[in-house]
Amino acid sequence: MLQPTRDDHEIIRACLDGSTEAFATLVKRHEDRAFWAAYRVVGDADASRDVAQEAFVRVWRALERFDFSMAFTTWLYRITVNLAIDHLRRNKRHRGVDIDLFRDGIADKSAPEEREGALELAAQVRSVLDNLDEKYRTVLALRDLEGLSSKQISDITGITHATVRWRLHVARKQFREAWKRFETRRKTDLDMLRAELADASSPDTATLDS
Amino acid sequence: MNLRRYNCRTVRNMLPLHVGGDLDPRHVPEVDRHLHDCLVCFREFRELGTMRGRLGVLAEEPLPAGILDGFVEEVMARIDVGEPGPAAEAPTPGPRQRISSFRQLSAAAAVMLVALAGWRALSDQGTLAPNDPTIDMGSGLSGSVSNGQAARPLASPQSLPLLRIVPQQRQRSSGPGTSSRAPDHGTDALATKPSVDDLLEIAWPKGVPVETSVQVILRSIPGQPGGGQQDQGSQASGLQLDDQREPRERRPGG
Repeated sequence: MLQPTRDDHEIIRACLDGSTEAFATLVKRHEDRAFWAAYRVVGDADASRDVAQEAFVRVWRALERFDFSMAFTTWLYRITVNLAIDHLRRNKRHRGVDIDLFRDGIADKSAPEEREGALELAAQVRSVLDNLDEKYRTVLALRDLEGLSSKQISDITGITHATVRWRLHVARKQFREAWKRFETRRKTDLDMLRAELADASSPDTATLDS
Repeated sequence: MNLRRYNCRTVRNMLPLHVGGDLDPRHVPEVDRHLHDCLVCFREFRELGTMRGRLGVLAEEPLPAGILDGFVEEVMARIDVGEPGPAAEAPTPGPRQRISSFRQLSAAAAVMLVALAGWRALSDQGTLAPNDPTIDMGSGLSGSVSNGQAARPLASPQSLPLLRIVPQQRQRSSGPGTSSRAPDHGTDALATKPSVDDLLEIAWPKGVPVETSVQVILRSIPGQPGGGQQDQGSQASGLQLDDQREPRERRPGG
């Protein structure tokens, strides 16, 4: 078995020599990354898994054309994100996250109340993020969630560096505005709930008074 | 302090990038200086930072339980099943190898057109070669069979695909020559029906048997297999095309 510390380029050279074992190592090393890259765009765990798998198959097919002057991860991101965007466009809309999918993972780390709080916040953030246009959401997710530089995002998405920065600028502003709207709506809902509860309790009070 | 050069509006336009460290380094000192002096812009900057922090909640999400179980094995299985490897000949992209329904219908229509043209032509001529005749269509109008055997009427449409007709150079002049037409077809009658013969010449190349012409048409469609192993009926209908598609592995329970 290949050592996990081996450089990606070295593994790719082994793949080009015909080693499928080397490719399995490459897949194992980057499966999380491909899944998350797809998930940031698609927002559906099962679909993201399929997209990530397809991305690795495409990598295998095109491995001979790999440019060794670039990082393998940049190439993988490019293939995965493009497939995810294609998937999204084919299926027309971004699907909201199923929070239950993440429940087990969080359960290992936190107390029940913290876990529920984290889940709720993640669901709210995801819900707000979902309302952004796909082109802004993709750039924002790659930058702020995946931690890629705007230059890397430019390489991955094929848009210019200036456009990446512009979209990032717009995306952050839109996210803030969307979050404000979300909080206003939630506050209004809570106020209405409190009012309904107050109304529900008032007849009893009136009966007692009479 | 240089608030005149970087006013609040200018700085606020830069804050969404500055909050993530994406601002052009040339502007950073001036923007930081402005934020130090302007409370309103600083509050906006802090608010954007809070928003970015909220987004970070998603970055800490754990993987959904079991979502990547068997992932590597499935990818490797797909590769083993038949995905061309990195050293393979440059393949045509998968989706383009698939034949659309429109193309299948077009192929079927072309085959039917050829068959119909042949049937009508032979019906009009009222002649049919024996098992493997070569009918001389071009040496004149006086009528003879090039292999020396007499032509026979076409028995049934089913026998049409097995016909092997060798069209030769055709002469429409009324000069002397031979013809494969039936004896009851006079010279004048033949001269009045040139369009059918033209159609025959267009329908399949000279010297190419009918069934070979069908194969040529089918092979001209991208992705259509050569057809050497299938029977002619299935080739003509294109029914086998779906079976040629690349198998797609699905994970268990997926």
